[in-house]
Amino acid sequence: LAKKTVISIVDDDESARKALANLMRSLDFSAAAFASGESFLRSNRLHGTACLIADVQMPEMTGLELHSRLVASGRPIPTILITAYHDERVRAQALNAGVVSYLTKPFNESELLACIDSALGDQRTGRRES
Amino acid sequence: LTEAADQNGIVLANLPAGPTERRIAFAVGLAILVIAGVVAPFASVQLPENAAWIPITSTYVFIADLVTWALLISQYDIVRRAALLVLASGFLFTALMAVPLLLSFPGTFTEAGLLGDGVQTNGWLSAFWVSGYPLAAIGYAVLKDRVPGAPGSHGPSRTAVAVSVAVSVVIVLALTWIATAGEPYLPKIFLNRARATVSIHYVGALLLLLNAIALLLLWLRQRSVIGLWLMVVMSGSTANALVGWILTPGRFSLAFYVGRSFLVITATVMLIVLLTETMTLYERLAVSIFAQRRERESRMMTMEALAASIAHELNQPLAAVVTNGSAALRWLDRPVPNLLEARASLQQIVRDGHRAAEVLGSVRSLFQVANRERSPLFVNVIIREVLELAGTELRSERVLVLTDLATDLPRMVASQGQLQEVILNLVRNAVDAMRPITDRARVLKVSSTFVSGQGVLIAVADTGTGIDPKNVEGLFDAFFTTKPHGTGMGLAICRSIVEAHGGRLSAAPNKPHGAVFRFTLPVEDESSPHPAPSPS
Repeated sequence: LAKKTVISIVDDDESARKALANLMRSLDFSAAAFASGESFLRSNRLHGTACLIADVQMPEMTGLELHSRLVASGRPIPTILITAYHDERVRAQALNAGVVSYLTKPFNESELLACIDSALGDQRTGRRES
Repeated sequence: LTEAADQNGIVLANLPAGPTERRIAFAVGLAILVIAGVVAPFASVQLPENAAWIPITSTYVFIADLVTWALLISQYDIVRRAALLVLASGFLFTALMAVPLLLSFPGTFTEAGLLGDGVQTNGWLSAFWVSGYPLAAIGYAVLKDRVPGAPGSHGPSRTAVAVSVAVSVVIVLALTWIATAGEPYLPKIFLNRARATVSIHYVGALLLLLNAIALLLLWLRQRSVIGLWLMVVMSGSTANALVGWILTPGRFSLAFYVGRSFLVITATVMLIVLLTETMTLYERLAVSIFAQRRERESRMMTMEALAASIAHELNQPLAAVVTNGSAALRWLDRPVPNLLEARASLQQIVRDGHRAAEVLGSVRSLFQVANRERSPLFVNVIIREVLELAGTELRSERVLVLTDLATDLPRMVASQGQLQEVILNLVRNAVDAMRPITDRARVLKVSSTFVSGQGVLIAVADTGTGIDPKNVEGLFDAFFTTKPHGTGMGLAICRSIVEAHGGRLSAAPNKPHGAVFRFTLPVEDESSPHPAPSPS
């Protein structure tokens, strides 16, 4: 059995976090959920993560800051930022910083899947192989 | 004085003179009269003839009085007070009179003056000219209390101004004609170019009388800035009548030069006063307009912030519903449907749906405070609940919490949730106010007492930054905030809740630091003047 692709989710809102993890599992990804950027950075799932979905507004470290930290550490993970409050300036800033995409909640499943596909890019997609 | 309040102190004619201004005006007026007194014994001393003196002073008075006229007309345009129009016309008259006065002065252009005039022409023109000041002031003082016309309608104002200008011009022309063509019939006040006759003293006495009447009327009837400085002008005009007419031996004497100087000084005083007052008012208006604009902008920003936070709060559960819905479909669409996971997803959807409804409910409760369920309750219980609710925040901000809760409070009928919201809001405000405080203890004191006749009094006191006196007025207004990220809704909501319960919310400074917010709530049985023992 091929090892499933790991999608990590970082969102301080519990129900949003749970829902995304649920969707990822239903799509046959392996989902790892974290309540904050710090706990994700400290976790052992950091290196196995193929795609990161992070909320923009979080109290300690924003999704954008998390992405910058990953880029600065030399191990960038393809990142999708999600937000409950659309802000055109943050969007431009995020896309400039190399984020795969910036989605406003609530988003469509197809939107998210398209983003994940482009995030995984040439990486093998566990979803299709299993 | 009542009109001054109506116009918000932005019209000179209505602006009451302040004590400092009164003192300055009094000093200037007194100085003029003292100078007149000092000069008086030497009035007849003949001085050399200065050819430039008359042209310079005439031109100066012409320009100064013309500008004064324009400034007064602009004031008239705002308040439509007949008194102002009369006063302005007076200054236009004195400005215009300077022209024939200059032309007819013997020796300035030709030996006898330019107007083909006789010996008396310039003397009488001069008398007419200086009578303009007291007459205008009398007109102003008499008409002062006339009810102004409705401001804003420009038609009548323009017509009135045009008529007043026409009248002034006609009077100047008529007086010039009298002094030139009618010169032979006028009493002789000059013997020759330099020497005056005894009659000039009678003219001087008449002028003195006019000035005295003007001063008296202004003194009795005038308390505005214009009235005050007009009195200074009148003191100059009085000094001129005294020195330049009653004590004068004729032209080119000390009295002649000093008398005219008084008119130059008073023209300057009136002009400077009008200019500085107008500038001050303009400044004040500009500042208040900027303040208004800033206020409007900040309100729009807080509205935006409020809308954004509501959108954020609603989008979270909605997004979860959508995502869980997608997941549920995926679980069902599998070759072997995973019913357990699908069921869990649907349960989550139900929970998120409820959460969204809760968000909407709390938004509604923010704006709708009147119809909420009320039940008999003890306020101390709610205070303790709130302090527990805010406990984490209070501890993390290292706030010392003190309570002073009366033990025998009667029950009150209130909405528990709303009362909680009010107290929680006040507690959070207190914490916010104490956050910048590092050099003294952060103490929150919540107390409840029974006040006979008012009900239960709840006080939330802090040792924070306190309330800026300039913010006291808008404190409870919707969208008023001094916090960088506040919506400005908190205290406005608190007040509407308290008032909907028949109580009152107020703020006061706490001693020695901070603020204390107090509100009263009527008790269940309002007829009982004494606290009822706590029912079981």
